[in-house]
Amino acid sequence: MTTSGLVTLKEIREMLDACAPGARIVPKEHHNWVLWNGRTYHGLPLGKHGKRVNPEIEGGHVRRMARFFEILECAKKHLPQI
Amino acid sequence: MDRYPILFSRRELIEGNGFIAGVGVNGRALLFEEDGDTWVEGVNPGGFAAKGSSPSEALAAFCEEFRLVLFDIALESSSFEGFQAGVERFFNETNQTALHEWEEAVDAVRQGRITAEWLDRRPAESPLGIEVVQIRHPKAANNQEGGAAIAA
Repeated sequence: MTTSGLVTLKEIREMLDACAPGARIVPKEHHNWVLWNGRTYHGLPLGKHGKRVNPEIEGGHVRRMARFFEILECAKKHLPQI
Repeated sequence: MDRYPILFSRRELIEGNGFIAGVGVNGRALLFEEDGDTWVEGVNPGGFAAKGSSPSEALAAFCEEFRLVLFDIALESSSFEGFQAGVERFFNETNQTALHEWEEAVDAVRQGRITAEWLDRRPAESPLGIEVVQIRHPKAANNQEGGAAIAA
């Protein structure tokens, strides 16, 4: 089985800075919320090992978020592993 | 790659700060395989997804993720009204990318290009929505079984 690679939260922030300027990642108890353009993605995982400073998040989940915000093509340029 | 248009229903009881809420949802989602996993991506509500090693596992994970999103909204809300508004906003944020593919998948089901014998069939035009009510007088008769069906 192949899976898309892991992406650190720092890399996701850098991608959002380029593809969704002004986006904010807000950690909650069960998920990270990503707020941009008046919309909220409620389901970005906290990471494989719970709350850490710079957790790794599965690329497939990052791809889901990018589709929701309609920034997938830009996101793929910055995060080829998704 | 086959994509399956899913209609799902759930009813959850959520404890909030000073209230208990019942949340009933009739939503839609897109199920597909990607990189060896089965994913379920929300259309309405649109802001979350889940995966599993099989369609049934992915659907179960999707329902669990839905409940966890409600938990997060409850933690953010200082009143029932705030919770209700947050849940309705969550439901109404449509995943437009997934919606486009969901509609194409409905056409594929209707043309017989996609079949899913393991799911019931329901009309794609079935009512969608989310209802958030404050539970003041719990009744066993309010309990409802959830389910998933392919939209056709």
